[in-house]
Amino acid sequence: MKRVCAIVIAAAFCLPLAAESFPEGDPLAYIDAVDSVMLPVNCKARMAVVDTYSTGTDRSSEGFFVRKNNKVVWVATAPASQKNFALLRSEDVFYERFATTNKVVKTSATASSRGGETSNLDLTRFNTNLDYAARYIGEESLDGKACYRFELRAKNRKLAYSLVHLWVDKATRMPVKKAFFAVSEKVLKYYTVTQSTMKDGRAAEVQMEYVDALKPEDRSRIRLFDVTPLTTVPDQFFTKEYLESGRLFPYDF
Amino acid sequence: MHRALAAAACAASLTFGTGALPAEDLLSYKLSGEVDTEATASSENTSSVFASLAPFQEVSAEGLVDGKIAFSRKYTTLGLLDFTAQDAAVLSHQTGATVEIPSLLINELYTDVNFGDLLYLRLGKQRLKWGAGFVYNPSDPVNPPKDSTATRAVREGVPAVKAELITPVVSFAGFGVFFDQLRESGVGARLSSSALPGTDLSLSGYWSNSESWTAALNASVAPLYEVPGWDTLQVWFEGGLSGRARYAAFADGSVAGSAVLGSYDGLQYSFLFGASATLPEIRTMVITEYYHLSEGLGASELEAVYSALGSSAPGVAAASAAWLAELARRPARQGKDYLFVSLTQPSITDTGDPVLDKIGFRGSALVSLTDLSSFVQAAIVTSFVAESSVELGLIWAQGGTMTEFGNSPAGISGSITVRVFF
Repeated sequence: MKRVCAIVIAAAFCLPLAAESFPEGDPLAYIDAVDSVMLPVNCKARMAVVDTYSTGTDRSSEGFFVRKNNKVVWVATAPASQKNFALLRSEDVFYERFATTNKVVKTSATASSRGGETSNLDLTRFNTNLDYAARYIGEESLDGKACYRFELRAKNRKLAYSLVHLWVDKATRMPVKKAFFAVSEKVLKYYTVTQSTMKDGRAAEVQMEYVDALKPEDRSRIRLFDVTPLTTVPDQFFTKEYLESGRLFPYDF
Repeated sequence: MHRALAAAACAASLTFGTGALPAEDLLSYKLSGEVDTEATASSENTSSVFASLAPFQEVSAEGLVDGKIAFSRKYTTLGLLDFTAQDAAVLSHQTGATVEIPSLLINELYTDVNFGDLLYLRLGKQRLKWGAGFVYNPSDPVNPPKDSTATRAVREGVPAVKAELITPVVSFAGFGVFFDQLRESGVGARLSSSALPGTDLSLSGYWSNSESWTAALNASVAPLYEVPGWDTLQVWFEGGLSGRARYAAFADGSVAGSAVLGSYDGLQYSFLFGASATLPEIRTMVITEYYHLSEGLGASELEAVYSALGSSAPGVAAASAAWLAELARRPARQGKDYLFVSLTQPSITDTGDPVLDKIGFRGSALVSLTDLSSFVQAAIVTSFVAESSVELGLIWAQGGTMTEFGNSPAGISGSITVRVFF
């Protein structure tokens, strides 16, 4: 009996060795580095979104956002009817400010306050390790690029997708593709980075294309540009009261 | 006097605000707003006791520019001008009279000065944010009351100075409000926090010599925020206590033939419960609110007031003007209990359909539970041309001759509105 126990314990210790180890050390630290290549922890940037549908119609909107880790304020600047619309994410809490009335109400991660293929979470999901538990799966070639592949599992139920797969370009540490799965582990949508401009080891401009896996003709093209690192961003900017005050956001472009 | 005070306060604050920042930072302006043109046809509500006082079968047209100019220097907002320029004309009236009324209203004109990243000062004519309620704010003793029967009414601000301390955990706002009469001016404070998960809470207090004191609680909770699919469900409560009534009661005036209004004094309370939910994917938003006013009139009191207004007895006509003015001060607040239900569908589909994506709908019903009269509004909104919308609206008031909404001067109104955003 003692021998059986010893074998079981030894086998249990050997299990992690059986899983593929990450060649660049700590996967979590690597994911943080990938995030900061895409967007610095404290930064501001502009965003343009074009939703394209199978019917051939397009819908465009523009805005800017300020990020402090998992706190983000996204403010619409176009179309004109949506000017002043704002989306606030403070960790796991979401608020939206109506464009016309300035009234601020709570909203959710899964809702799509601006419409189109992008949920509120899509517009504000920038810190992978805070939202997901990451696990290295292995190496894979994607679009001719040597990539690391990671599996991300949502840490809480509020997040829209329980499982996400991420492919990262080994050479630039830029994400190449992200696939979002339902609870049934069926792919719901994915995005690919279609273009990126690097500056000082980080992205200055990125273009991504979100594709509805169930209806591939429906797509959202997101362009992040004017990405500007900020030295400090005060926490109180990400409060309901600040949004309610109707002030222009301090880091407006 | 009111406007002069607001302009003076804003001019002073602009001077202060401009001087508070380095001159080398560029000043920038941003303009946004909308241009509306609307034509309305209304049928006379023949069962209204007002019919003999204000017949209301008419065709009218209105054009307005509602604009905001925000001017800022670097990251500090220096100020905001919110204005409404309007030209309303009665084109055809059952009396044959036509009238055109141009107007320019400054809704807000204020400046902000920030002291570091914690303390924010706002000076000038401004809307003080108050309460979770969509159609009524029992906790708000300061701003002009919301009129839920006039959806297009622009809410004018009040001349005020507000200092706000905003921290990630709790925020404190202290303010002073200035009116023409010194005794109407008041001071107040509000403490608010979102520290409790899924909850927004605020406590506020206000005092003025003319209005006595008001204390209020606002609580907004998203009870199923953790559950996808149900995470848009929210409930809120807004309640206020005041040392004096907001409106003159009709206690004596409800007796036909008497014009004496009741006393303001005595403790009053009002509260509102609300709930909202948005259906996932379909995006239909439903809002419902119930509110109660202790100082509202009972069904029999309302009946007595409307009976008196419809009376041809000598002396009553003279009193009618004062009564009508008092009724006008309390839109959707004449009775004690009200229920509001609203349904909004931003577009029929959100799938790229060239037609159904461009058509939305909204409707609401406000029911006076006191006298069971109702006020229904519905509109179809289309947006086939970029940066614009065309809206077809219908308003219908229903109730007996001695009820609040049954006495709306217009029975049914239809309107078409073309709106261009800039």
